Amino acid sequence: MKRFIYILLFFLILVNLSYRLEKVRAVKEKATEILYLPRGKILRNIALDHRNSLADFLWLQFIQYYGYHLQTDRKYPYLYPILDVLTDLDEKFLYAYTFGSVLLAHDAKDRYHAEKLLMKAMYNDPYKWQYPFWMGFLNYVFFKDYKKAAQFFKLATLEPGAPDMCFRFYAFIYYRKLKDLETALRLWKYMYENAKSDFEKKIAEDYIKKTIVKIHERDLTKIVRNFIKKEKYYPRTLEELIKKGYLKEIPQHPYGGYYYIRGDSVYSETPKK
Amino acid sequence: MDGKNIIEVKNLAKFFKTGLKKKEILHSISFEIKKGEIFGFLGPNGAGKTTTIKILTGLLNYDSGEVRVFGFEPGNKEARKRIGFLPEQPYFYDHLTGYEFLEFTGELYGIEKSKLKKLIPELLEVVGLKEAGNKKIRTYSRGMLQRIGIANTLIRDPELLILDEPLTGLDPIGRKEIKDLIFEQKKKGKTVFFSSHILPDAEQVCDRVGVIFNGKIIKTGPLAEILREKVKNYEIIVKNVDLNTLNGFHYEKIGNEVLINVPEEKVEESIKKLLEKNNNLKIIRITPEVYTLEEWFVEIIKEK
Amino acid sequence: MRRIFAIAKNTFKELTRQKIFFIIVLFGFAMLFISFFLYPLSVGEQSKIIRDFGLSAITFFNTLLVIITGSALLHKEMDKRTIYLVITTPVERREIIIGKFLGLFMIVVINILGMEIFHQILIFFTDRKFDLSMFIALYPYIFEIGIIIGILLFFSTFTGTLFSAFMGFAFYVIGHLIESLKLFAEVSKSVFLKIFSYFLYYFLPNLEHFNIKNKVVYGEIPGREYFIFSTSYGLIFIILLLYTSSLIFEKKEFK
Repeated sequence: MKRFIYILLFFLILVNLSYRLEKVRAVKEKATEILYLPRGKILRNIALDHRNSLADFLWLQFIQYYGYHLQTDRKYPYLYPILDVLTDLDEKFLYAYTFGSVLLAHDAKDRYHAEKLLMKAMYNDPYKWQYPFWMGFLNYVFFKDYKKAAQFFKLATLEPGAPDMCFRFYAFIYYRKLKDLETALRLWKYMYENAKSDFEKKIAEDYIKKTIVKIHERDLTKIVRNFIKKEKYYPRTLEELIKKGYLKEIPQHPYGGYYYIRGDSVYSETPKK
Repeated sequence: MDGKNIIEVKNLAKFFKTGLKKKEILHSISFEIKKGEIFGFLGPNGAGKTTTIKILTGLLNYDSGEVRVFGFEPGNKEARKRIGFLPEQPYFYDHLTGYEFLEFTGELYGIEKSKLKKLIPELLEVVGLKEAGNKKIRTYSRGMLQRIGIANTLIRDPELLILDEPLTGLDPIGRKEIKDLIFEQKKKGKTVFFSSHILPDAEQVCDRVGVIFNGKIIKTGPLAEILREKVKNYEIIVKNVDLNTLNGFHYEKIGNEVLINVPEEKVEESIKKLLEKNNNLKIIRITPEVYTLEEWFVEIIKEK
Repeated sequence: MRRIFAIAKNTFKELTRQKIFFIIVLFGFAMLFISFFLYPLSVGEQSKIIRDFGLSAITFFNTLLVIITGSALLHKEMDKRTIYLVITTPVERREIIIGKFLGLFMIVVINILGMEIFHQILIFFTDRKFDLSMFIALYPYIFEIGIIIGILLFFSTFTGTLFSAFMGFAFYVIGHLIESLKLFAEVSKSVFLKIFSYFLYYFLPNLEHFNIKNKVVYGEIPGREYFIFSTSYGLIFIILLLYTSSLIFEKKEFK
């Protein structure tokens, strides 16, 4: 019994020390957290037959890394290196390519690496429609490069098993080539419905809301300009539009903000969190 | 415990577990060893000798009964201080020289360095390893190993020597030397407990023996008593006898002497008969025919 | 104390007179030396590479040395029955455990120092100056090695050589990956899994606590607090392992 108490006591001290060490070490940990990431090609050989498990392990590290920086400085210098090693280890890690490229484009604002990652995906796994589709998607919504987007959507339609979504997007952009908010909204809604993770869903949801705000602003501005033309004076509030019968009701701001008129245009104010 | 008994064993039992099965190795054995005697623990291989010795030295625990060594539980530090132990077919640290090995165990016994410097060469000389002391133990022969083992048991000048099969695997000269060493220890007033399955050696050395067979003690007592117990025949050696008069006797002719074998109760009657029939008869010797320990042992085991 | 020292000395002699010991040590030094010749390949990064590679070679080969020799430390004596001669002297069994520990530990510490001195010479050739911070990087590693020896001794008291070696290796690997277990605990939704992984996280030795190599290489030296905590964590873990090993060894029978 006495011995058991000794052992327990030792353990309690150890837990306490371990906890303190964690705190002490964590202070400077972040600066150098993954400087030691070895090259993927080398790692492939070392990992022997455990490549995919190692890739999965890195994936966990990646998510942790992303999550940590999302909550703190929103800087992601190692996002691409991790993804690169990860996809070297597991060349067909679809989710790492697609989700990774979205994070690179959206969070890191790193078009070069986002596209590079997807090009690598297409090289490693050429018969997947998802990669050209995502390439088109990123170009359409983030980089506003409609020509490139249309090209990749077209490529996606040529891959086996491509859903008609690809064709519709391709057709739409190819023929209209203009900034069409409804298409963007449809695209984001599709992404939202097919999202595999909360991260993805949140990004899509955010873009859906942003697009809705833009649509509202555009439509209201149209009404305001029509009002000025007919009534020959500038309305001050949206309520005036309702009184005169130009507008049925003020649309709801998806973020809980409000719309206001300045000059002949309508703008919106989104509340800060 | 009266002060005379160095080891007391009462109803000692020991089991070995192999998987779920329990095998009884020692069935309630009892014996004691008195101060200053040489006690031979005899029995065939696998009888339980080594198990008993390991219990006495604290290498094994026991399951029931009572064991006292110098009045302590076996394996107690105080008991260990007073015991010199030689395991069966001992192995030593190959990487050490004989000298280094004795230095190591000497330090474990807490002997001072300066003392060891004097003591070790003396010991090496006693056991006849003076020259080999600086050679690696790896190069030692069987007999040399046994000798360095004996030197190791003597290093602390212990009151009790426990030797497990000290004579096994040695040539006759080696056996003689080790027997002499045992006698010498006895002369110094030490107690010696040794096990053996080679009986003639035990016969020459032991004051008292305990015989163990299949985990049971069959007999303990002074050697002479045990042997005399079994005396049944007498040998009468005579000269100048007419062989025709010897009808009905077991006899054997050796040169010009004749050895006649008669049962104990017929000795007087037989001599009378012989004297009547042979005028020139000369009786050379009448001796009880003593069993050797070996013969005795074979007989005992046959009975069981 | 003298008996512990005698056993430590004997262990020291035993191990240093083994062939395998020299082979591993030789390989370690060879590895260090090879890293020196990598430097034309490393394009401008030679001084970083010689540091990284050197520290890795030192820790890798010493861990290997400990796992191979440490797992046989007690078993060799039991198999060869030399332990009979030790156990029956007035030595306490815990003194055997501590002595064995110290013997191997001393060898490794000396080996680490020797290899690091050699490493310093290589650094001097590339940088024209010594980098003594490498010694600081290796200081906590000494406790890691101590813990691994403790684990090997602990398992040696009741299992075989191979299994002990395997467990030593497993603890080494787990000890370095263990911080992912904490992540798992944090993410895990099941309360049972959460408690279980937190328990394991604090129960198993966290060897990452002793890994400051990748910081020191970049010139970041942790504060005094780190050294106080890691030293006490290491020492207490070693004491705990030796204590429990002794408790088991005390009851051990030698058939």
